[in-house]
Amino acid sequence: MQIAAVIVGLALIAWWSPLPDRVTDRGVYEATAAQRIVPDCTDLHCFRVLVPWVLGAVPGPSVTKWKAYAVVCNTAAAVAVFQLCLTLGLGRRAASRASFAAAFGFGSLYTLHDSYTTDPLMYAVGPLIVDQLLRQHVWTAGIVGTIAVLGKEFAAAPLYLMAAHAAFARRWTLAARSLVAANAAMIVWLVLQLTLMLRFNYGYGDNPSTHLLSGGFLAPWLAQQSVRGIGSALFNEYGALYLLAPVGFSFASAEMRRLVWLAVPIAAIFAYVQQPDRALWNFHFLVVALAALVLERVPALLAWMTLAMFALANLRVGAQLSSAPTARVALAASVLMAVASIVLVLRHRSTIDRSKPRVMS
Amino acid sequence: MRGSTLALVIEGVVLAALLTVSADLYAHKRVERLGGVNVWGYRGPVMTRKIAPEIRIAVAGGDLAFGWGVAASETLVYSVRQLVGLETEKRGSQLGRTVAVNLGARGLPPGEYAGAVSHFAYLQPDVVCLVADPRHHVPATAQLPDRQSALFQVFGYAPMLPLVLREKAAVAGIPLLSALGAGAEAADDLFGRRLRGSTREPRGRMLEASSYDQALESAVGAALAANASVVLVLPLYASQEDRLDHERIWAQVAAQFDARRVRIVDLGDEADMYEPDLRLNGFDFSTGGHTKASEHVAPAALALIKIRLGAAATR
Repeated sequence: MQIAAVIVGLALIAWWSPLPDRVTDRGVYEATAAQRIVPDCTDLHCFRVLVPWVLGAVPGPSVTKWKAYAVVCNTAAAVAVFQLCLTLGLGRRAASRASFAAAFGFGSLYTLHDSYTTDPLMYAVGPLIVDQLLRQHVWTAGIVGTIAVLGKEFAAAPLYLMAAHAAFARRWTLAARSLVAANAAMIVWLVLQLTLMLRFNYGYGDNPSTHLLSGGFLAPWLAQQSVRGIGSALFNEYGALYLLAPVGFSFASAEMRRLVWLAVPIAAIFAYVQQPDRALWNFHFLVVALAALVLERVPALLAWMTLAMFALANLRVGAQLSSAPTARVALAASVLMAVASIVLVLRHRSTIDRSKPRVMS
Repeated sequence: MRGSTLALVIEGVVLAALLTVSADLYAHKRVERLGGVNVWGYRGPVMTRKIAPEIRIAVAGGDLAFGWGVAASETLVYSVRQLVGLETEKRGSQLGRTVAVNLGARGLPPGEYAGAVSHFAYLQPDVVCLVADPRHHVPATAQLPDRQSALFQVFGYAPMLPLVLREKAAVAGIPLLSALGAGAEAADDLFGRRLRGSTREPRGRMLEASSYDQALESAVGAALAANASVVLVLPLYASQEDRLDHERIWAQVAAQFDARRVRIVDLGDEADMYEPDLRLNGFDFSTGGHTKASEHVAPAALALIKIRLGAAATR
């Protein structure tokens, strides 16, 4: 029922969301979908073949297919986050709230506006792989990651994250098996890159992501924007979750905290080589889970109002719905409610048992 | 755990190999526009697929054609392209975009010109400017691309990392880098020699006139077989022997090949090519030398292009 509601909600937003009125990667993905191989392509997105190849085999209008793909993957991401929260020891209430935040967060809704991207797949794959590895389903995680790297290189990151996570927990066998899976994904990715480069003369062109020693994507991104623009872009990414997540961290289990600490350097690397604001959403599954640790401890009305305002703001800044109320009001409201939630939780902190969260009346 | 350890070892080896190739690709990107070659062993970036009505001009040959000491874009073929393009890319012209590629190889003896031309036939040049080194010229010892390389012989892939490592080591004074580069090159060459089944050709010996003539004839034949027209560019005179060589080649080419597909440009007869500033080291052309030579080569190339296009239109 909840899944159906998420699908319907995302589908309606995707339907209402206008197509971007600027140059996007649509041409590259459509060419890849139509031709499979685009000889001499010098665009980084030409290397991300999985999604266009699959969608290219599906009949129907291009925009409909890509929007449907974004809806399905973002729903899958919400489901994966729900399951991951349960695996991490959070209650169903927290899992539901985290799942809602994942489905209607900035990253998710932005891909409903500009669907010609492999990001929705990554949003689903990240929590799925982490969940599978936490449950020691290494084969499943490895296969998912190894296939998904054909979509985007990020898919190997959760595998390495979990290998490090297991190593820090001194679970050496799991760490070794996770590392084997991560390396397999990395090998597949490298083989794909080299094959496309050598056989079909693909190249990265002048994409800043490849300028690793001269600032990556980060330096030109920072140079092209005002301080206000940078702050705005970064704040829009997680909005009220920026306030909730750090407080949630203090309630998190040792295992979850370790996961977060280990994800920070990986997130920093991706923020360096990709558009930083969008790259950060790849780790949404940790941020929304931390935020949910706070929201599960406050009255349901306050929690859902906070999330509703958060989603409302994202309808404007993410899905670019011009008919949505101005984002500032919704953002401000969600932030105020998040602050109220935090105050409420911290005031009762001494009575809180970490392992068994309770709702305060 | 044992299975995982074994898998990690195997993956480590595979990853190391893939990362080495990646590093080699990166090295190519850094040097292919300068003094090096691209992954397929020719100067400048890798050519994109030929799309009609593109006109492709290639320069092939040994040391003179390679153009040691100048950037890829400063070599003869790019100046020829520019001059030809002034005509073919005029507004209203029906002719296509003109592109250039330098297939010259450093250290390539005349006897291997034909093989090199055939090797790159897949690039579909319309005109091959075959720049001959003089008969008395001793090809450079350092080959670029390294034709002894096993990778080059099997896959046509010209490794660059060993050379870059050795040169970086020489500049930075890091012996380990140099050893790595030399080790990689030695291993590759060892396999290469086994594949080839022979050692390098003896060097320092002047070619017999008949062998030289035969080599150039074969090279012209290889270019024609690749459906290209040919401009045979003869080098400057360094001795009376060179004059005799050129006269013999003129006669041979005129007798054996169709003038509608083969032209000769004899730089030895061009007085303006003897300016000292046009040479870097007494042999290799400077940037100015390539530009000056192109002024003599371009009209012949353009004439052949017009003949080709005229013939194509007639068909």
